[in-house]
Amino acid sequence: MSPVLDAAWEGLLLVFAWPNILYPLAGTLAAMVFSLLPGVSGVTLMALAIPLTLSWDPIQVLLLFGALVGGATFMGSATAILLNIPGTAPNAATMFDGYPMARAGHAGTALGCSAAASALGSTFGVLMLVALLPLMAVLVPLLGPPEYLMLAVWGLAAIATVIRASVGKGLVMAGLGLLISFIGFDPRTAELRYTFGTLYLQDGLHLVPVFLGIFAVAEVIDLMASGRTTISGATRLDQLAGDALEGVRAVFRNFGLFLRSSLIGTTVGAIPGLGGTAAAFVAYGEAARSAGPDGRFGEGDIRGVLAPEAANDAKDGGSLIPTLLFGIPGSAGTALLLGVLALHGISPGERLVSNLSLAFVLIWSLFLSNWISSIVGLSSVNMLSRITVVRTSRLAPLILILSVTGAFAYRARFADVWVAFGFGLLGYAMKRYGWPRVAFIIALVLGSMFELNLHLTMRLQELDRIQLWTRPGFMLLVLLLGVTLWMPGVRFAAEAREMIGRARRRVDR
Amino acid sequence: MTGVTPDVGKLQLVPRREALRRLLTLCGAPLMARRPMRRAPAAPVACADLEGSRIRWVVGYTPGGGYDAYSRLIEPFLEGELAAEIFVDNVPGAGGIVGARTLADAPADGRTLGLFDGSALLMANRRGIAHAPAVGEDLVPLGRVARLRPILVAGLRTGIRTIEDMIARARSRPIVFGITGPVSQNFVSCALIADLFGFDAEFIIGYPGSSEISLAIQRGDVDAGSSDIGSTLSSIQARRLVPILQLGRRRSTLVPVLDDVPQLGGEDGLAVRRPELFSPSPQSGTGSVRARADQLVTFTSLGRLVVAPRGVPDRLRSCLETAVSSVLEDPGFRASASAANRPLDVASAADVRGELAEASAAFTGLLPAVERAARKAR
Repeated sequence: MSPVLDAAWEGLLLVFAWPNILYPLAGTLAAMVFSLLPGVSGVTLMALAIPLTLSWDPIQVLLLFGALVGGATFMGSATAILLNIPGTAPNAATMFDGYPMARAGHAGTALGCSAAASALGSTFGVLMLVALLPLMAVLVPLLGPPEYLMLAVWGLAAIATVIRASVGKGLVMAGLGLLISFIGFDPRTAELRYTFGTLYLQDGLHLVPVFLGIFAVAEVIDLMASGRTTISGATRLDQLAGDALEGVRAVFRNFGLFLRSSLIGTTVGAIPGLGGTAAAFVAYGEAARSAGPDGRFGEGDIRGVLAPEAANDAKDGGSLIPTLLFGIPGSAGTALLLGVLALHGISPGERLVSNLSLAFVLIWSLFLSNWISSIVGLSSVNMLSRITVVRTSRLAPLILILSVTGAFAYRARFADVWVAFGFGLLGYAMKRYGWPRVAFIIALVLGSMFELNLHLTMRLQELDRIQLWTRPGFMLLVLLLGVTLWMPGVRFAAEAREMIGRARRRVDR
Repeated sequence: MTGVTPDVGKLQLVPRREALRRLLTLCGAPLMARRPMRRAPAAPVACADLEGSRIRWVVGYTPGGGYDAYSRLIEPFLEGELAAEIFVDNVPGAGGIVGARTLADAPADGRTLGLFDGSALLMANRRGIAHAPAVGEDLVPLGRVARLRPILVAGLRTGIRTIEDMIARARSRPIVFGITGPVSQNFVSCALIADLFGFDAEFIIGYPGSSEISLAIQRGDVDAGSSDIGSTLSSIQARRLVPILQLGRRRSTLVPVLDDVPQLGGEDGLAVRRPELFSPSPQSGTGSVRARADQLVTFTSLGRLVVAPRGVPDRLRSCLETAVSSVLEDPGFRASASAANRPLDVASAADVRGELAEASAAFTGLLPAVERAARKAR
């Protein structure tokens, strides 16, 4: 066997050695329980667990921390689908279609799809990591600001798809999202923008309180104002349509989309500094674009659940690539993990690279916890779906409490709670008057990535440090963008030709 | 890549009872943020006001980073010293300014302390960044934990192996530096090195962190950059980056890879040994080459400081200084830091106050060149 496969096997044996296996199990279950609170991610749990693990051996730290990250992911999606509350920032993309599905009585299908896409996406990420690890030392350095810029443009181009119904309003919302993403320090000049002299805005608006406001708080207001009796409109479980298996089958029915989304997740994960939120939104954008005119994105299209969930979990495998090869963390979770390992005497990068089986302990723990949380999630779909038949008079206060607590728990700042309330009112107004929130959020998430990499790319080009047209990664992304923007045009032209043909035939008759 | 190494087997050998005990503890992990004190009360008399209280330790950066790691190493020892409970509160944002301002605005009762980068705060304040507190005035130092030597590194592809190579290369085209922001220590270091040696430089500003600059150098997007040894060591050891110059007064003996890398300042520094390498340009300001080199070194060497808000009563401040000093000299703490690969370079509050005054004066001397470079970079 190759050294990589040897190390993978050795790592697997270490995970299943007694009592090591208990660590990922306990870590996953603990993460699933505590991540029900929005704003509490696997990274938050890792930070809280640091003092406890200082006297532990690195192998148990790896087992526990891998499980905390993996276990928190599914529950974040569950609250996004059921209550319109994103557990963590990457889950916000799941809400766009997951919650409308729950409102239509299809919560079970959305949860099933989310669980299957998560587990399979994580498997894809790990397989890619194992298969490409030897190649990645060459590939990762080929990706730089021009490629990150194109990824952001690709994600932003999705706005064109989701605002088809109201182009003018959609563009205004996208503009507002971009504007808000520019709050804080200008990365190039260090000048402050739109902060009104406040310290709170210096670092820009944080995504979690904004998401909680725009979706969860706005939903509470809407539920109370609309007089809707339950989220799904049904009052009994047997009145709900769809089930978990239907959701699982949806992943296999859209297997091409699943592969594309997982590939996006792994690739974005491998780029330091971009993170799971960008991965989920770029994958959502690609799903919306590739669906064509029959897509109902933003209104409850199951592909809008599948794509971000697969990408978000596949990203974990990708984020370990720069961590293992260059000692450079690919995500907040791996950054924290490297910091904790340093406390245990393991220098970031070098020891993990030279000791691959130790790295695989982490990979398997992450993989295992994704599967455990998905299986637990699938088996409790009925119980979870019950939330959508609870009377809104009882549910709305609970959502509000969770939102407020989540906004505060995110950074322990009261100001975040006020931001959530402010954006709650804005989100309700957007929903009430038909201004697309999806366009606003996509622009908000990808705006800073777009701006920063546009500046860097322009400066690199100005100084003649890069030749855009000779970069394979850039050219590939330009080609993909061209094709995905061109396809709807081709479909439109074909439909137009068909309509004209039908009209002519009618006239001829 | 190698496969399994023998120490992995060693790592799994934890007694079952111990492993189960840890798992039980884990079940209460998120509740443990408010855990009880670890040691019996043993506070010095002057710190009695703090005995049994809860002390907030502000870190201006995210969990897992260097500042967070040092803080968590100090935490149990200082808890024992003060007989108080300490909790680390990560308040990241705006390159540490949000956390520093949070600390500066906290009540001066000794119940809020923190760990910050002295040079970065000094620069942010002196360059007029909104809300940046003045270290030494808004924040008072209680001691220094560490200072990681800034290093100038170049990419392998550039063919630059020494500072002489860099100067020679700059004769044909400007050296391009990767920078995080115009109010960052790496900008000041790179801009002033170019100014000192009198070569043309261009800056690509906006990389999110030192990791991204390291990758940009490896890709060949930029020629060089500056970062502390902690952030660049693994890339230097893996021979992906070439160390060119140490910004220090004495040659660092911390890691063997720096043995042959010259330092800028001090008796044995390049400014003394090779003055002919430096720029005679009158644009570079007044003073000798050695003085200018030492100014840069002084400014970048303040290190990671334990600080408290201004206004802490003298008696309490003096007690806190003693407690911090006692922890930093504690052999147990030193052993923990060594095991965690966290180098120490401790100094007392009195020494830090002296260094702060010197660094502030040094920065005043450097400011015209920094402003000039910032205008050019825009």
